[in-house]
Amino acid sequence: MWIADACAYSLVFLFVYTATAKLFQFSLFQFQLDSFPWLQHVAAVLVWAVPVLELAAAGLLLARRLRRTGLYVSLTLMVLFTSYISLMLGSGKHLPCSCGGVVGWMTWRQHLVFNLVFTGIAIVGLVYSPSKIKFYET
Amino acid sequence: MKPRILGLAVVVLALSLSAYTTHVETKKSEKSGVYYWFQLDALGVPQTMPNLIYQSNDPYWCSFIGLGFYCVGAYTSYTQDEYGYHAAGYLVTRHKHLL
Repeated sequence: MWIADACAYSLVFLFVYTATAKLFQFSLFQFQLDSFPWLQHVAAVLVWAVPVLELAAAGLLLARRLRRTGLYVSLTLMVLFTSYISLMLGSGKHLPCSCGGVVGWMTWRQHLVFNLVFTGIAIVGLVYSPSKIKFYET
Repeated sequence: MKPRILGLAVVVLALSLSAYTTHVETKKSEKSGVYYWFQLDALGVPQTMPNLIYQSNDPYWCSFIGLGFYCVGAYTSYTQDEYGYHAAGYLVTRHKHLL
């Protein structure tokens, strides 16, 4: 159980940290999303959707009953972010990262490894997270 | 009760660190006033540069009140690979061509 807790709290920390860092620097995040290839048409939606989804995932992970859902949402988000970075690296395009806080200081390659680690954490969390939580022992 | 306190502690820690790093980065930029300058394309996307320009003033003499396309941007950090130097960190300012 403690492994699932550790994974969930690590992901909560990551999502709260990056979502609030994006919101603190909202205009910068908006500009960076606008300059991303393939995303210009949906940038206006993503600029709100990304931090809101990250905070929603953190909320689900904190609620024990919804933790598995939270882990699935986290895994989906991490897979999407990682796929985008892989596409970016593969295309040879180089842009500043629109990630929040210290994550923004990483190169795209470092960021890819970082995301893969957290994708792994979400998978481990799912493996060790019980599918049903007993609240009352009978 | 214990998991709730732990969850709250994680959220508070993440929020504090996020606010702190944003604040430090902004203050550092304001204090030093020295940035990495990258040419921008018409839409404002920073270009890969063969050389790194690290100074306080705009090396291309573009204007912050320009009416034309984007010209140059000042960033707080950079990354480097086999293609050259790439803008990273926070965007401090963007200048435009005069016309």
